[in-house]
Amino acid sequence: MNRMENFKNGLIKDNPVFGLYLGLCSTLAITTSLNNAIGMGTAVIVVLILSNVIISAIRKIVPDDIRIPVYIVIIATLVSIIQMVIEAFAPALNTSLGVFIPLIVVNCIILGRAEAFASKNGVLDSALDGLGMGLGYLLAVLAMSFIRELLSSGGLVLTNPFNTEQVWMNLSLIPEEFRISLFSSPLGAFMTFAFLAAALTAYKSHAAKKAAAKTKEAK
Amino acid sequence: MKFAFHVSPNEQQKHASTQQIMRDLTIALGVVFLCSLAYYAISYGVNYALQEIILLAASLVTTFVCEAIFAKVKKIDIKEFITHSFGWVTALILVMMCPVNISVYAVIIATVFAIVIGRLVFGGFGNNIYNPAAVGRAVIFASFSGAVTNLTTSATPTGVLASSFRWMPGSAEALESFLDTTGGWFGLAMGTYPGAIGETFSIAIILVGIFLIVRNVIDWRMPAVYLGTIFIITFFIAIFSGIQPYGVIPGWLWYPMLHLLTGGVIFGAFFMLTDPVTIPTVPAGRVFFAACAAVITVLIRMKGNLPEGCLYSILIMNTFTPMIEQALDAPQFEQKKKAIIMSACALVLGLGVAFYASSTIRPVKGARNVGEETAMVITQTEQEDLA
Repeated sequence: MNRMENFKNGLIKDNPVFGLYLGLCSTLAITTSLNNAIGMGTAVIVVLILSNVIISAIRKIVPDDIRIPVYIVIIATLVSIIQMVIEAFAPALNTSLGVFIPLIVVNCIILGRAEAFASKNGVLDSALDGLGMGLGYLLAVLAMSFIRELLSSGGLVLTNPFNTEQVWMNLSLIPEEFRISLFSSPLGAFMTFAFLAAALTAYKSHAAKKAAAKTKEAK
Repeated sequence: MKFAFHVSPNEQQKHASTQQIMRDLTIALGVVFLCSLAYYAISYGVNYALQEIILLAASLVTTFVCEAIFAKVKKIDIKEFITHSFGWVTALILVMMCPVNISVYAVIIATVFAIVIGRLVFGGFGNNIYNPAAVGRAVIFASFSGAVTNLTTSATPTGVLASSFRWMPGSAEALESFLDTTGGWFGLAMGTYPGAIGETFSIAIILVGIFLIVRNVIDWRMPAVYLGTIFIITFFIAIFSGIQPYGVIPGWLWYPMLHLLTGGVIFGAFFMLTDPVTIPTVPAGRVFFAACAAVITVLIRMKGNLPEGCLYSILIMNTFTPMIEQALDAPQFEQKKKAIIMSACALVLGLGVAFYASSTIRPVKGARNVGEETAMVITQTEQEDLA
């Protein structure tokens, strides 16, 4: 039960992007298309689960004074591996994500979860937490890139990351004269982020009010 | 013995209530809009006037719908909220800044951005950071540069000035070939040339502006300092780069006048710079604000990619309003000292811009065959023109 809650927290309530405001730099930059978002989200999930597992496994033998450098070394190693894998198997994704793959090293979500969760909890719990947080990140970038791509280019394009000639989905929903190209610019990224974060906050305060009313009734 | 009793200064002056101020402003904007309706109906046809009315109606309806939804969500009385939010002023100013051939959809989206993002998310009327109408216009700049209907007008003077003359017609022939496109100085002053719907009627805007100043609706400092600073900077540009006289009028006189009469600076000075919400409240701060906005306007005109910079200068200076406010929040003597230092900085900045512009742009001396070149720039500049 408790484990399930840890997992669920990362998805909605403590969503790393809209709830904790972590990892915004990459979120704002790569959410221009669904393809990028899926690639980045998957990379973050893999790195997050692996780093959480390793850090939680060695948490008892790492001296407290040098834990941050140790964590960073582990995360950097994992990111380098992921980057090489992406470069080898999905070169198109590598060019479109560019510098943001190596920058996963300094993504606050990963170090934040290592510091706040993995260094205090068991291996299985940490893996679940990593999966939940990673899925939360994926959900957030998917939501943002969905809105931005739809409004700015009028459609949604999904291609096979390992073979770019294979197009899975190519929707064109909004005619040319009704597209708002503003949303592909950084300004659009900030605006989309602000509105989604505000929506989550509004939902949370609404839920809290409801819960408070319920406990009052119960009394 | 009788005690003279004075209430605090803001009560002492015969200030009108917000409702009255907004009513006067609406009437003033309406007059300018009617001028534009008459001009487009007479010189281009009823279609154009009809398009203007459709644009305004679309903008107004969007404004009221947005505000009604916001009031509904916040559980405020809708009618009360709309009448105290004065969204129609934003809609009017926004529509008057758009060219006549813009698509209705672009105006609707721009209005949504202006009202919701420019105003309501900050807490509604009186709490916004940026001039909402300018926010809406900037959205059109950023998103809808191609969204035009099939109504066409001839090239706008700012577009021609920027593309054919780099804002520097240096001799009498060059000026003459430019003035041919606008109907001479008289046409420039009366605003009978294409451009944004409501920005070109210089004389009408100035008359209406004076009426508003007399009625104590807008602060006379803003237009005076803004237009004055533009005049001074362009005066120095004319002198530095040796603009030749036009007939008996020396270059240092007609060149600044050209800057003032073309584009949206007069409209911006009277209707957008004077928005009491987004400018500093201290008089010294207002003077500094207007002077800096003028410097930025000239800089964008002379060196920027856009043909006109009034709108962005206002938006950029809106950002600094809290900073100016804080800088001048001091005891009186200190405030005076600070204001003098700030004004001196603005002056140095302005002179620097004048020197920079005149040393990097060479005036266009010979006459240009404007007709041919403008045919190409019409489509490009129509949308980017006049901010």
